[in-house]
Amino acid sequence: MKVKDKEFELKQNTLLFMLENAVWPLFIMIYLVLGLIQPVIFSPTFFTYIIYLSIPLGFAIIAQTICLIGGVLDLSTGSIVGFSAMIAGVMLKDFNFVPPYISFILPIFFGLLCGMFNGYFIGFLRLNPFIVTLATMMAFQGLKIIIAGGFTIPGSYLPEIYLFPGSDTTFSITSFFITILLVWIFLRYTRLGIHIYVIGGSQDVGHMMGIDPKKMLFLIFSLSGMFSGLSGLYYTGFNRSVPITLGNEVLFPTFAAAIISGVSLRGGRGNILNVVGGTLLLGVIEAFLVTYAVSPEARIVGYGFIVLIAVLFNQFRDNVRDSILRRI
Amino acid sequence: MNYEHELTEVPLLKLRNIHKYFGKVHALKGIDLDIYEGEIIGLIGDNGAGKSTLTKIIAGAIRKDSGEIYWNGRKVEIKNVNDARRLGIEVAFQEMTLIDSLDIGLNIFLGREPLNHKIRFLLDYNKMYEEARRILKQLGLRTWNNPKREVRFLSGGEKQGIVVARAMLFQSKLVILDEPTRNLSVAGVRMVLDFIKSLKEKKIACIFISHTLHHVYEVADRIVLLSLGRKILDVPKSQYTVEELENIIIEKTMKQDVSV
Repeated sequence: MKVKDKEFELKQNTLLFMLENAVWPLFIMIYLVLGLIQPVIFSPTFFTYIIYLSIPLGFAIIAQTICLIGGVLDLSTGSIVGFSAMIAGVMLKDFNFVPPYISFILPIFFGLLCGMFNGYFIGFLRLNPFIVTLATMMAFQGLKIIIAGGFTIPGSYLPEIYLFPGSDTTFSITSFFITILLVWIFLRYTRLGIHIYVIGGSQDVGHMMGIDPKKMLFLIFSLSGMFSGLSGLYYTGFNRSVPITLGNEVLFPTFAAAIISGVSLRGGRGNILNVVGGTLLLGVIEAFLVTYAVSPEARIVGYGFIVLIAVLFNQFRDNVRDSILRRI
Repeated sequence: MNYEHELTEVPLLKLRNIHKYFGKVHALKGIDLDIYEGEIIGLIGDNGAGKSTLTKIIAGAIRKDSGEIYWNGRKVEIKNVNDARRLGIEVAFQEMTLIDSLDIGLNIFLGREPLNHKIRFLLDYNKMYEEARRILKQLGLRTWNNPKREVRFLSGGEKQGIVVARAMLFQSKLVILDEPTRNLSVAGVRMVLDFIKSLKEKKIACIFISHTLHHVYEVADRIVLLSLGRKILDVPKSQYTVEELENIIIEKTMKQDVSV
């Protein structure tokens, strides 16, 4: 009898583990299926390319994940990516006062500023995050086009060291994984990080327990902006230019990846390590579509459906998980 | 009983002339209240009487507009929840102090998570779960063997147990229980009442808010009745039966309604 109980418990724990990290088996499954259709995906070089391709978006996904864990959403993520990359690009192209070796700080700094702007309105003025980030989404998008003067900034105008993080495959991939690890430690092993989960669970409870929701929301959006800026830096290196359209197709995939990785839309739940799985999952699909030269418009349609499927998948997984946990 | 106190002891918490406005609404109209060490106050009153407002001021969740607060005879300003906690005031509003999506251990330590003694900015999860286990076991709660369980899977009584464990662990001097018996089963109510009695044994004072005089009556040393922002009754329980108190409450409330 005892042995049977133990066996049952082990089975149950394995199932729970699988459900919580379901994005990984899902990623492998989709990788295999798409690989059977398009075998080139299986080659090691192409696999590295898939990872490399996912990195710039990956930083924006980190930004969105922090917001979702904090129980809010950031609609301006994509616009901050484009705006911070563009303003940094223009400054590096037209003005010489920034030394090249610290040039990569520029987009991070401007991203942070944008995030603090959001955070001020949402945290301290208590405005609705949906409306505020919707407004700044449009504002930053427009600003990006205005300061660009309608032109793409070619990579030749930018310092090589500025392009390096996003263009060097090894550096790009390694730095992303280190960042993920650091964010994971921050979210899980520091007080501030855990308080993001608390605020995501309930702002009122946070307030009653001495955690200030105003400051936490300001922090959440500042971090979101900062990682969006970082994403802008990597996009610039990846493209070896700052196209006027940069960041336009970022917002939707960030939601898709975060949600499919098990980050709850209700806030307060989600593991940043699994978000890597979601990032790679989107990378594989993106790479697959690229090999078939699917038009960008059709890809947007695809992303729309992926978000829907991700939400459904997440709900299904949560229901199964809850029904098991309730019985324990 | 409470009169003996006044001659010999300094009250743990002394409130004098507390006022609170919400816009034009005068929610508290000069409340005086003394609470002694290990004393259980049953705070009753209708909706809008000011019970929650008063306790939130004590807990630091909102700020008073005027009046004085003394803690062990010393005048204090309670500006926020952390100020109150430092004094040893613990809030135990079940639905207002637990995060459903986090586990038991984290919930007990919410806002006061233990830090690793070597790397000062990292959390010490081992210590957190160990302490959680210890305190839950000490309280005889079934949840002790699984401190990593998410709180949303617990029953009302078990959740109340977490709140209780928190108060015990941080050695509070004064615990505020806002309607701890609401939404509880008969067994759950029993558990909360037993807990409140056990607080008394440990010399922890308690403000027990309830709509139900019968729950309060069983455990309270003193019954305080608020109505429309005023304290209209403050009597030691031992002098009255439940029926007598009920009559007094009805009489007092009606009289006030007429005078207003």
